[in-house]
Amino acid sequence: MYFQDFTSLLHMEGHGLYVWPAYGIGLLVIAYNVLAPLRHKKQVISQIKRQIKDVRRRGVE
Amino acid sequence: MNWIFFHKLGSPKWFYDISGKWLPWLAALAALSMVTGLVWGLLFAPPDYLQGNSYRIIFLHVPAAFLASAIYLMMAGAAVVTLVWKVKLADVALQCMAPIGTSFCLLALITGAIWGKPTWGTWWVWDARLTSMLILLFLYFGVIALRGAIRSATTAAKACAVLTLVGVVNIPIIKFSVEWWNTLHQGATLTLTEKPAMAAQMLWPLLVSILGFYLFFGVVLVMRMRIEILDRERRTQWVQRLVADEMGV
Repeated sequence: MYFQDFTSLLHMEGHGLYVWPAYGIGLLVIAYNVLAPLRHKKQVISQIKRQIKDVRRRGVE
Repeated sequence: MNWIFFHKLGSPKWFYDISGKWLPWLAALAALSMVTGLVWGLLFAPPDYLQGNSYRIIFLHVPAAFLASAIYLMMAGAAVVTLVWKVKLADVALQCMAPIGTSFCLLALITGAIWGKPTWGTWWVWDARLTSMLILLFLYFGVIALRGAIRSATTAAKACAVLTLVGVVNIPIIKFSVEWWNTLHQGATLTLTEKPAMAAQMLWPLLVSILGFYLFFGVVLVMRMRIEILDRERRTQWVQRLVADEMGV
């Protein structure tokens, strides 16, 4: 590793204040891109399930 | 020429089946290269002799900016396929690429602003590169908003394809902005034709990071497209059977 210890890694000779928030936002963007489709999938699947149940119920009656 | 392949390629069901098989592998590869590139750049690469450690933002900024433009170009490709051949899958791709492109465009702008502060002494300047990138963001917003505003799916597909194609003029402006105008933004870091201006210890983590971001884009695009296909094809037999199987009935 380039940095000697954890403090110097955090500080980055004064630039840690810029570098770390940038990477934090990067992480947020990555998380959004993974989580958004997963959430949408849940919604779509439950809608289709409801649709199937409705059709079956009508079929029984 | 085997035309059946092209018909298959445009078939949502075929895409759904095949993509499910290689998605886990692609995801593993994307995670591996992204983590490698970013950790390497953040912890192991040496600092820049001029910019110090602030340059480490490059390992995030450049891949995000590359993707923001590349995704728009791919959307333009999908727009042509939608308009000319009316392939359903192309419009699905166009729709799913837009929010991903938006997120990377935003990331490029924000990381650029954060990098600009210690390097140029300002968060933002209205110069050619930054402004054309902001226009790209608005184009992304426009494509997303347009689809939301039109009720008919076929009309929305056509309108979005046309808007995407009109906006493509902005891409060469972004690319050449640092050459055509006087700008604070530095010139291209990577070119295909010239020797890299960057030291190998910085170049390699950057290349790995770019690869990781492209793979990541592939993964999240396929994830989105699979769901969009289920949504659009919800009345077809194969989707109903697929979901019914999952319900265990």
